[in-house]
Amino acid sequence: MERNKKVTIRVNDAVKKYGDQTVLKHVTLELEAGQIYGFVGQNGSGKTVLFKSICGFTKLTEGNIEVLGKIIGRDIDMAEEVGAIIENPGFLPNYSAFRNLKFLASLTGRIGDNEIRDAIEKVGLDADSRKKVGKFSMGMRQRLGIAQAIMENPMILILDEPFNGLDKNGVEEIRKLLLEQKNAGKTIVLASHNSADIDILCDEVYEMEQGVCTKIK
Amino acid sequence: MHKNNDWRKSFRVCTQSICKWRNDPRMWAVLIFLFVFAWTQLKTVRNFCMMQELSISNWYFPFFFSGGMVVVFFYLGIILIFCNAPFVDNQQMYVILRAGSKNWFRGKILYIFITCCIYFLLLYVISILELIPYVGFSSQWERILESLSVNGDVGIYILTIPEEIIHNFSPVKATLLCYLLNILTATFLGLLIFCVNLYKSQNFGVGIALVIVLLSQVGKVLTVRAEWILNYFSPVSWTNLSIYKKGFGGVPMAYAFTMLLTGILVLILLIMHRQKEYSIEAMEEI
Repeated sequence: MERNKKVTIRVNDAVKKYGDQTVLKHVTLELEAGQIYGFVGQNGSGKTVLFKSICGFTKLTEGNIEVLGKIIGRDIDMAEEVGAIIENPGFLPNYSAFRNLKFLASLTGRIGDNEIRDAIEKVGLDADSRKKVGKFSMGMRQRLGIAQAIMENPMILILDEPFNGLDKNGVEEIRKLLLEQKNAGKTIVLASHNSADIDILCDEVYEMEQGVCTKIK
Repeated sequence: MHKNNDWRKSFRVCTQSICKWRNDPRMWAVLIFLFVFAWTQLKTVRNFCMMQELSISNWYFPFFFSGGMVVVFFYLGIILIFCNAPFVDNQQMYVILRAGSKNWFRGKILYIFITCCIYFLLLYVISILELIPYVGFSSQWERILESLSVNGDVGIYILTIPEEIIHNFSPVKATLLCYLLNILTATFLGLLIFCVNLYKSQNFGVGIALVIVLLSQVGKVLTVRAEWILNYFSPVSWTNLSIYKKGFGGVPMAYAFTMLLTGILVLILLIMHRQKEYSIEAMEEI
């Protein structure tokens, strides 16, 4: 399906406070389809809180976020058409990669076994392996996290440190995958500490510092 | 991707949570505890059956809750099962994103209720299994339970088998009522832990639930009148069928059911209200 470049995510003057601490300070963004947006910043700068707010996990203190025309918390409680990796990917440790993704896919009922297998293969894992996720390395879990994010072909990908734990080949594979997703018209929002990832992949780059979001590229 | 009111998703959230039991050491610990603890409680009954050379009917279940500290231990199991409410871990974040927050919360409420149903059904089955080979299936209380209700002394052991239960209820009615009251009481406790943990923190919910469970034992050190009054405020005491009698010392059964159902409804409303503004954070596994 061809997607026109349109604004898919609008962050309108978002503020998030935890007690006396303000972790998002009047963040305003417009993110379009077919683009990759990079977010850089130190730990605790507010990147993850912003990503969680876009998904709907974190409720804002002030302002709102609109995803595909629907306001989070008013029109819908969680963002729709979003695949995400937030913090460390978590899976059921005593089940295989395929079973884990099948559990998740059964909630929406939008895809079948073939799509699940495709997603697992795309990230370089073996869909037929019975190896339990509890025995996966960090890199393998990260790949599986990316697979769960893309398997339902969402329009938006929110990826918090997607390259964590990946070896050099893994990074190259995932970069290539993300560029394919971008060319398919998806909005990709990613955070990374690696400047090379940001430079190679991102069309626009924002820096988060103490809750303030500034466009730097 | 999802609608806010999709009961199928809520049901899937519930069933997936139950599927996780297989690999949850906490659930295995509770299961082993139930078997071992019930075995120790039923040891006296088995010995008595052996001495009398008689079988016992399959209706011992209500007497687990008819006095003493036994009921506290069974409810500690319930607290342990629900102590990690609101049950959010890194894996659940992916579930919530797909199911929707409202459907997910409803699924967890359903999970609490279903878990309580399974827990007490298991206890009923255990009460039969662990009396083999002395258990016989009958629609009556049978001599063993009747004679124990009159004289609970068995050597150095004393069993609590109140006469009121034997005389006021048929075995089927007693078992069904006891089962229902326990499901409602345990659901109430589970939802209370869930609700308090949403509004405050994980430790608070467990603490308050523990106080409520122990409240059932406080009356035993007070006067009879004080114990009677306390029975009106102690949900765990409502699982003891011997308190449902007319006149002094009795609590109307309709009161217990009304309070439990009202309490459950209020807690559900509080939980769903909190869901709208709750920021979901993955918690560490307990």
